[in-house]
Amino acid sequence: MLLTLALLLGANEVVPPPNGAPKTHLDYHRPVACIPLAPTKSVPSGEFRVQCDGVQKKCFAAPTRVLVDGVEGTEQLQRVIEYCGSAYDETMRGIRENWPIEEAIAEAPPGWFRDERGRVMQVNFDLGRRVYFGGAWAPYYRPDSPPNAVAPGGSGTGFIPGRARVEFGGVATTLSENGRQMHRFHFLEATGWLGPDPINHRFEASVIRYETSSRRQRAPLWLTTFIGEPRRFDIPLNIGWAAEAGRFEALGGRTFITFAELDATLDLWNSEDLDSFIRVRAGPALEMDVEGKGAYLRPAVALEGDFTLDRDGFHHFTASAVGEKLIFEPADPGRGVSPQRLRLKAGYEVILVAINDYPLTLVLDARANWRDDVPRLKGWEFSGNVGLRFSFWAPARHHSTQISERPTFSPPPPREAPPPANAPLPAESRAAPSTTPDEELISDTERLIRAARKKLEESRAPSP
Amino acid sequence: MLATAACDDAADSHGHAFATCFDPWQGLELGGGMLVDSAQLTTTGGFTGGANAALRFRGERESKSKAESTWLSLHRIAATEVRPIGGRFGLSLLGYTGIFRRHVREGTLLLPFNPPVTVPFPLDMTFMAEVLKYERRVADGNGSDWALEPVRLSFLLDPLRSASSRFHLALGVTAAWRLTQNDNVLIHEVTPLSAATLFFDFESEDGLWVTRGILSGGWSLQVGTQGMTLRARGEVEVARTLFAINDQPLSMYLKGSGAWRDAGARGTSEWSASVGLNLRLFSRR
Repeated sequence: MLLTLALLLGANEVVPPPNGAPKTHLDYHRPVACIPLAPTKSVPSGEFRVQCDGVQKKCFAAPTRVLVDGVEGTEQLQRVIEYCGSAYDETMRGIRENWPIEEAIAEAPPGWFRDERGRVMQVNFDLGRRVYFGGAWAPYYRPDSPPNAVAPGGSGTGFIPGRARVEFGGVATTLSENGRQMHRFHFLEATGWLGPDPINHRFEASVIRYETSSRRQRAPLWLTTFIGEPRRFDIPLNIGWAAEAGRFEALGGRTFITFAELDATLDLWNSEDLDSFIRVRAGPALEMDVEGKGAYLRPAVALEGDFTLDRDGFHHFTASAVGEKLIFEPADPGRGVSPQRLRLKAGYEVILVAINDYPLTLVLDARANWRDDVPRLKGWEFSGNVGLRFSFWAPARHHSTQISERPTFSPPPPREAPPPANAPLPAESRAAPSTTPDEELISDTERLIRAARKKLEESRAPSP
Repeated sequence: MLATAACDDAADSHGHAFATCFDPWQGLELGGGMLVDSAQLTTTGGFTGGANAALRFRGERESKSKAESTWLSLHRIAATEVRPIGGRFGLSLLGYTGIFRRHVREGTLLLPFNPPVTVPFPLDMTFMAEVLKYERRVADGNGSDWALEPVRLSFLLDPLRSASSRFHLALGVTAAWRLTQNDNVLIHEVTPLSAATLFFDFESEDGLWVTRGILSGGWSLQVGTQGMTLRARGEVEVARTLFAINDQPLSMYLKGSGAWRDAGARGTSEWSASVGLNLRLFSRR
């Protein structure tokens, strides 16, 4: 029967790439035809996903199921183009004209890679869209007291190596259709540091935080000079805003709640995909000192940077410097008027491995904080964090591309623009038969494919 | 580089349009600069700073009652100037200034003979009103001195007779009423058309250059006293627009002013010269 099919399809035999070259990947952005071809040793069913390249005059055929021990198994391919038709222009032409057919690997969506067996895996991750939790070793050092001693009424702890950090939260981004504005959401982010003594404990949490940044096509600020010929100089200011609601911070026996914060932001630089930026942020917040039983104003100014260092989103570097000042705060004998906070942070995160396409990352960060708003924890505090973070969701990046070992296809030839609807038909068209040559080609090929499919089904049917 | 002609918007190489023409008598004016004045020279001998703000409008409309004539008007609202005087705070606030020029195509004088006779009258009529000018100088007297000029009216003739309100030159007589408080003594002062005023305002076609000034002097009568006092004041300004930020022009000005027995509530004499920058918002033409 297989021999019959092969004969029916003429020379449509699938052969390996020449000279042991790696297999070509089908193109995810082109139509794929699911058609029967001559069975091969690895694909005895003869069912293939086929794309043809009109420039190379060559077709590529990939199995429709995952290979097990070099032969197709029962597991269907995952993450392929859902609609797999029976024929498309170039494919039909290839079959009709008996272009050579080469073994290939099925298509994979942008950000995903399909191996030789047909298994698909994510290789591009957007850590700006994830739900994460993690833990870290988080030693810290306070230079204002002897090691391992708590000064009466004062801070201090010296160097505390035995402290741990736990964290969880979610982040999401959306990109506008034109790709020039990104919205970032941080929700239910919480971090706790636990040490041998309550003075070592810290807790920070935020209910929701929002930021937006943009790449403007038109400069919002321009300068015209009237010295000589008038000239215009554009000053590209990418202005945005940020807001936060429900921020908690507990340390040293004090609890602070930020009801709301509203900031203006200015992106000093941002990458073309808007995933990376250097930004200045400033704005007021309404905060409450729970123990002091009073609400007050907390203006803040920040310089923040977030960098995705590689195309596939494996390496990330973040840094920030945030200054905050408390104004009209409740009086406290343990601190002065209008205390301040300075938070410096630099961190690096790298994807170590992906478990079921969920990334596990190594997180390193160093922090230096100075504050005089908490009487027991005045002054500098330095901490380091080394840990792991597991992320759910983490889809492919907004601008991810197809991943393949080598280019898949030649660029498609330019298509001629269709004539206008009211254009007069050429003389031969006016007297044309009911089917065009193209339609004839399509119907011929479809008939061929239908016949082959029918024979294949008959061969699979149990004998009476 | 320029894609269009003189008073239209221009376009840069990316096709972005930008304004190259402005109206110097339109918009919100905010400025400041360095100045030197006679009082400062005698006290500290150096420069000091000052700031000013005003709202300006220009108007033009055809007369409904008199054919072939146009009312050309200039308005200035809340003209505020702040600067240290004698080392203390000094404020000058002029509530409103309006200059109304009636421009006629063919100016004539009608003589009431029988039959009536008309003779050419080559002048435009101009009416200028200054309302609510308040001056406060903390350094004057015991610190409570102030001067308030509720109204100052001038009737002027314009020999230029330009059809555009960008060219004004007018000369005429002035009447005024002024209140001053010196050491808690309130004084009324009246100028019964006994002063003369010269006003001019010249602007380039594109509004980048402007020069304007007002000089006024004459005799004023302090009510309840005998005799009149000669007082004079004047101000001349030249400005050039150097830059525009988002089509809002920023111009550099050079200004000189002087007063003869007419500065502040004490009626002192002084002069000042200043140089600075003025940002004019919403003045794109």
